[in-house]
Amino acid sequence: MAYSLVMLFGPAADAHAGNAATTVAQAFPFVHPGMALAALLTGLIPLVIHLINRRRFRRIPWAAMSFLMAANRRSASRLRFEQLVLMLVRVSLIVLLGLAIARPFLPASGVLPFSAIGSSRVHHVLLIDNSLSMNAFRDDGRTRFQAAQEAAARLLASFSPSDAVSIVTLASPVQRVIGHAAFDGRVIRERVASIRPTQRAGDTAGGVAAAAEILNASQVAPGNRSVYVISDFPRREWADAPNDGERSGQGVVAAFRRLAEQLEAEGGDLTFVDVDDTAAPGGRPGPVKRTSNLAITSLSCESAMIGVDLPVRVVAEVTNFGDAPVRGVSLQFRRDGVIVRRQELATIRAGGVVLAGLTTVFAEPGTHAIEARITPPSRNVDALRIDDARFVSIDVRPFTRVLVVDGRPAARLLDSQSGLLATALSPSVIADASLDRGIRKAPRRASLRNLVATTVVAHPELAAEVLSTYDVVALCNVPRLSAERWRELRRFTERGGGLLIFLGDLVSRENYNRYGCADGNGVLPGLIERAVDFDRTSVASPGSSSGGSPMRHNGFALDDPPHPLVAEFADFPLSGLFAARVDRYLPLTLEPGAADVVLRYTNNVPAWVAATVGDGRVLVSTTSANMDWNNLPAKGDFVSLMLNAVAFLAPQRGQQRNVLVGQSLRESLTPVQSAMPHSITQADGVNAQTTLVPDDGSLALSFGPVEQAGFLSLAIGPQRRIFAANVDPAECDLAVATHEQVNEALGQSVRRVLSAKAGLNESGGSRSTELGPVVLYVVVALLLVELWLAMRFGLPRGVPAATGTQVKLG
Amino acid sequence: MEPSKQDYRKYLDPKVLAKISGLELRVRLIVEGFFSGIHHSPRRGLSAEFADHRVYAQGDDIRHIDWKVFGKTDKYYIKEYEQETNLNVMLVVDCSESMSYRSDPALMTKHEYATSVAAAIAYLTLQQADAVGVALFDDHLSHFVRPSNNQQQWKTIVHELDGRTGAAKTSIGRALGELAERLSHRLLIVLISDLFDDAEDILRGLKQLRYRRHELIVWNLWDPAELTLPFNGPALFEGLEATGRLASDPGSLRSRYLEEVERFQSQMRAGCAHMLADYSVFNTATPLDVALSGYLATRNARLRQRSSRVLR
Repeated sequence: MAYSLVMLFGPAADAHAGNAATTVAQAFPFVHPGMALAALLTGLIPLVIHLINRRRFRRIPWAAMSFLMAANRRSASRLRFEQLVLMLVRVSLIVLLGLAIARPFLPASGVLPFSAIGSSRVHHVLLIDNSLSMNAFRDDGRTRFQAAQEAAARLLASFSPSDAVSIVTLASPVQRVIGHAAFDGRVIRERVASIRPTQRAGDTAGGVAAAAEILNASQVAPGNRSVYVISDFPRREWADAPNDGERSGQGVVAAFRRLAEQLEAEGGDLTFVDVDDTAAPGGRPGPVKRTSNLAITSLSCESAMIGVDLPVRVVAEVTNFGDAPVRGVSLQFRRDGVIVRRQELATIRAGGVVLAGLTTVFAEPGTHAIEARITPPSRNVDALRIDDARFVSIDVRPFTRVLVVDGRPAARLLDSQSGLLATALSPSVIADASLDRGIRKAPRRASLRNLVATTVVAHPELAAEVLSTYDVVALCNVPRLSAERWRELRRFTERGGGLLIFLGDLVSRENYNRYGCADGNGVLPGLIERAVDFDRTSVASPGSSSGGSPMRHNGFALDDPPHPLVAEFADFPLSGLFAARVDRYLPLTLEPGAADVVLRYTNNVPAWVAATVGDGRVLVSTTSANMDWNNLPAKGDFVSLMLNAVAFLAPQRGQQRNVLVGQSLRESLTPVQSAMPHSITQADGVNAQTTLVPDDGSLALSFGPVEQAGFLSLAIGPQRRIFAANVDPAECDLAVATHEQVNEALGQSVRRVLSAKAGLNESGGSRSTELGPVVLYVVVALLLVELWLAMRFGLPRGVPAATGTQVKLG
Repeated sequence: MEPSKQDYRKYLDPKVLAKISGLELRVRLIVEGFFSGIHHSPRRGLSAEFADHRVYAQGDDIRHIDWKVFGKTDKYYIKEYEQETNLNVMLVVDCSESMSYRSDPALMTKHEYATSVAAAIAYLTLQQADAVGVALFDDHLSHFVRPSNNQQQWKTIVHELDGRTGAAKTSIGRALGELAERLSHRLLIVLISDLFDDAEDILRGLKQLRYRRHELIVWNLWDPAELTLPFNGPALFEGLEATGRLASDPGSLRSRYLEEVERFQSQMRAGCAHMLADYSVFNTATPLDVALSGYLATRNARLRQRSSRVLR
């Protein structure tokens, strides 16, 4: 940024001399203004040394005083003149040296005739977009990225050999291909040629910020800095431009505003080189033309419970980004590489979305690959091919493992705190168990008929359990836990586990609030208050709740809209959920936004509360899991509600195996797996090595970032894991910003030219001229003058020092 | 050269003399060293000597006829001798405060140098059976010892010279005027001083002495630092004899200062030459034999100028 001497001395300069001084000061700003200020201050050094020396004289007794006095009388005026001249020369020498280091320059608008003798080196920063959208084909059969590379090559050819060039690519994460100022034209051209288009999303704001950093570190005069952005300028980045003048924020427009303001203040150039030549004739970008593109923008599994022999539904979302409806698009699904379904899609209107689903059953546990791919009727409607397929990895397990911790084991199943819950989750296990043993551990191998494998333990036995082997832990009226157990539960949920907590009469509020809540750092979303006996008179009016549940008694009610966990009950007002009676509960004091209310009591008090802790979830029921405080377990919907709760809490297996291009893969390993050989096969069939990284006490495999969309197969010994990498669907919208949109966002400070336009590099104005070399010449001349003056004025050189002594003889 | 003579000559070096505290001992070493160095008897040239023969003329004392020559040539020739004259010496030594200055490289103050030289001359003079006296002055004539050649004169002079410290300002003209009033006979007056006074006043005082037909030798003593002003950097010069202070950079004053010194010396040299006085500049780092040689040469020259050929 350019500063001038006016800024150094402040605006309170003499008003009369102000105009002329300001003109001169503005004519000589500095690349390093702070250094210029320091240079002015260093000009005081000779004066300070002179004053210090005058105070640090030696006392010399002297007999031949009359001669010295006479010499001084004869030399006084001459010496004063000589000292003044020498002082001026030395002050000028130091000040000019500092100013030379501060690198003054003559702005392009300067009026003084120094342009011919200074340096006019320019620093060009090229931001080259290599994100996914740059893979789109243009009308001429070339991709946008090819056009960008050609534009960059033509720009480089037009630069002066003395100019500096930096290059930044805009695919996320932003890469500084040449982060410094490079001058070797051959190397620069090689670097540009080595840039490849990626399937990653773009990070234009990050690239602009990188350009600003490079410019701030640039050593050329501020007026001689130019930024070229070679991109397709996606419309989505400019459509949500912030309010007028907004420069804060992380958006693309805000970043460009900051850069444009910086460059405008310095006199630099910001040029947009538009590689989308589908503009109106005449050399200027015309009205927006939606570039046709079909893409699968989503492929997801909609089933809450995924298990062996369970029907799993996968839905693909096909979007038409073009400006005309598209017919005749076919879609095919592959399961583990085998085509399992072909489907002709209905007409997709311009900008419209069509959903297509696949219901399939997995007979074997493990990770499975589902791929959806469209075949467009013609290439004209699909400029980008990479987004025609989408992939999802689904982890199918035999069952969900739930650890139920009982706070009060009892001989009779129904007397315990967890018996009904365990029965609801795994009816066959409980049915097979012998009832005379009271609380028992269920067999580790659950029946395949059960979706959930339940293990029931008394709460003192919790310490012996390895939580990482379970998907969900349920605490049923557990009186208290040690601080270490609460921390362990916290770690369990943070790593994706689910925690289901049923309160009850045994619960120690003090223990739960102190360690479970832990001032917001625990697993409980709020503080537990005193138990409340449900008062029928406190039931809220029917209008305050929804779901059609009658508010005639003390029971449960739904929010509007209902929480997804209980959404299916909303359509059944006569469901047993709404018929259940609640007698007592322990209300929770929730911080706003700390948790979601899943269920409410009819008095509007939250009954079930869900919160997210790390990668996992916590669900708290403020009433009991058995029939001590309510009769919900006696209702038929209890089983559905508990299975929904487990499905809600169970880790979304396979989710971490579905990533976007540009992200890294991570797979936790058991100790046994850590010792096995491992490798990964990428989407293009190329094998690559993974990296072992620490993973909270164990090890994990890491790979990435992933560069291509598709499936990756991770082999860990004999086992195999499927990962899916997809492109960012936001990149599939190939519409570019209009000239009006850019002007509206940035004003007229930015040139926007088409990549094919002649005179691509034409600068908006003349260049600044650096005067540092000129000042250095003056410094050298002054140095010689100083030496000559010092010798001419007869300053001491090589005369031995001596002091005088007066000796008194007795 | 014999080792003993070599040992004596070293005492002519001020560096060695500075280590010897007693003036009397110092002077004896100076004189003995000086004469052992020149290989001549101190008596040479000081006794009556045959000069030439000339033809007898009427009126000549027949006692001077050389009868041996008459026997050979049958003509009367008169033996001619150089006249043996007395040359009494008055040593005038400056004892002002400025004479106490000594720069670090120098080993003797100007006063020490002056007293050493003066005592040596007194010793030599007494050895020639001539009378010698001494006068000390600062702003006036402070001590005066009338010339004499008796046995105690040497002791008296040494006593007066030894340990006399400078008083206040120098007033050479006034002191010389006082001295002129107290001297009745013709003397060879040796003035040993740094002459840090007004040159006109000094010359005026010398003229008074010269007017009374005294022979004058002026030795201008300088410390080495006073001849070079070798200081660098800012300095505060504190003048002796209450001549004030001066804060300055001596390096920048050096050339002007040396010009002033040279101008003063030139003025003194010209003034002394005008009144047939001998003016010499001595650096206190100069070995003392140079001073003594200069003295003897000057003295002999004066004797030759003064004397005319006389017949005995």
